[in-house]
Parts: sequence; structure tokens; C-alpha cells
Amino acid sequence: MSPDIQKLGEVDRMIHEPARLMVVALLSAVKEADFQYLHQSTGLSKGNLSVHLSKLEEAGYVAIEKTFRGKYPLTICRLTERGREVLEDYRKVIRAAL
Amino acid sequence: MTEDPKVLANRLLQRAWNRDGLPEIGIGLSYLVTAGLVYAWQVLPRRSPGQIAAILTFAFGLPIVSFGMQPLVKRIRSRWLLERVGYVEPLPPKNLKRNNLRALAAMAVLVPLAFLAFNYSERLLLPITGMLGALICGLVGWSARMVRLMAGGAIMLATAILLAFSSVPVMIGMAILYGSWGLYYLLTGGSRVPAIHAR
Repeated sequence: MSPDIQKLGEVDRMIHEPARLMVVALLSAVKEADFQYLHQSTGLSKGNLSVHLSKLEEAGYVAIEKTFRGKYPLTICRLTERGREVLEDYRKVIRAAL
Repeated sequence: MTEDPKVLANRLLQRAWNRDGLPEIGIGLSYLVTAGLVYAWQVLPRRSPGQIAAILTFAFGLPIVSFGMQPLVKRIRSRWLLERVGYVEPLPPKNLKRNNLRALAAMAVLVPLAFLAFNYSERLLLPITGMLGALICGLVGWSARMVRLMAGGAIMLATAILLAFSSVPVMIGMAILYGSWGLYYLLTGGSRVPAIHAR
């Protein structure tokens, strides 16, 4: 068996899950985005998105900051350096294998 | 994998920039103002205060409006639309210096070409403007996969070619061209407002 294929078994399951991969891929292209933007772009329900963001935050891939813009509460999310590295590794493994 | 997730994410970001139609409304308004100024420049008596004001506004006011459009859109969005359209901040541009050099190189080629063509025949100004506009709209529309932006480019090109073959004076043709382009983007941008309002 090709070693590239074998590496597929070692991909980071935290971002391999489709919903979390969507969130991480979206955040990789921006400096930061709020919950509403992620909700609209991914099409995930608010509850589902919230759960996945919490998991990504626990893993240290996403930083979440709660703030206000005027009276409007903003939940700002950004990919951490660790998150960017993990996504890059994930892309390399998938590209090499498929 | 059909496409790089980063490419898809960038496309979503571009679509997000145009999500509420505000940039198109801004572009539409500025092109309508351009059309009005070019028209005033042509029809007002030579060296009249009105014509001088139109020329000065064209030369100095429009560049300020162009540079100020992006911050203005961000400010309006941040003040009134955040709850409906969300907040997103793009990554700072990586190769700003290289991109600026490329833009300068393109200008260095295109401006003399446009000048030579204009010297050869004034009427070429119309299709050249149409082609450049269509090219920019087409590229932006294609990268974001937004049909209404690409259609704007196609409409501009078609209008420019029609005007070039008509008997309309060149600068009046330019005013019509910018006016029709501005009206189109004002309408497409405006068509997004009810959808955003309904959220």
C-alpha cells in the first residue's frame, strides 16, 4: 500500500469532520469573522455551529472573542496559528493521497 | 477533491463583500455621477463656471469618491447591517508591493495603447472603455461566480459597441455608456436590499 494512502489514516479527525472542515476552511481565508457570517456561509444551524466552534476552540484551532459593536453583540472567531498549521498539514495529506 | 478549500473560501469572501449590494450601489452611483459630469462637460458653454466645476469635480472629486467607497461601504455595513449580514475581515494583502507593480506595468502598457487608438480614431475610445470595463467585471464576477457582475460587463461591452457604430458624438456616447452601466449596478445592488431587509 502507498505510504500516501496510509497517511490518510492519520489525518486530524478534529478538522476532518465536514462541518468543522467548512468552518476552518472559511476562517483560513479571513483575518476574523463573526458567528453570523459563519452561520450564513456554512448553512449550519446555529446550535450545530456553536457546538463545532466550541470543539475547535477546545482543540486550540480557533480563538473566540465575545465583544460588542455598538449595541450588537459580536462573537468573533479567528483561526489560531496552530489551526492554520493543522489545516495545511491536512491539505497536504489529502492532496498527496487523492 | 475538485477545488482547493482555500479557493472556495476566498470565493465566499468575495461573495460576502457583495452580499448586501452596497458595493454595487456605490459603483452605480459613482458611474451615474461620472455620466452626469461628462455630459455637463460636453453640453455646457466652454469655460462657463458650470463646465469648469464639472471638469474639476471629474478630475478631483471622482478619485476621492473611488478611494473612499470601500471604507464608506464598511462603515455603513458596520453601523446598520451587521446584524443581518454578519462581520468578516479579510486577511491583509500578502503581496501588496508586487500587485501594485503589476498594476503599474499593466497601466504602462494599456494607457499608451488607449492613447494611440484614440489618436487613430476618437470613436475607438468607446469600445476600448467597454472592453476594459467588461474585462474587469468579467474577472471579478468569474472569481466570485456572480452572474450579475459578469452580466454587467457584457452589457457594458454591448452598449459600447452599439454606441461606437452609432452617430452619437463620442463623449456623449461615453456619458450614455457610464450612465447605463451605473444604472445597471444601481438596480442589481438595489435588488439585494429587500432580501437583506427580510433577514
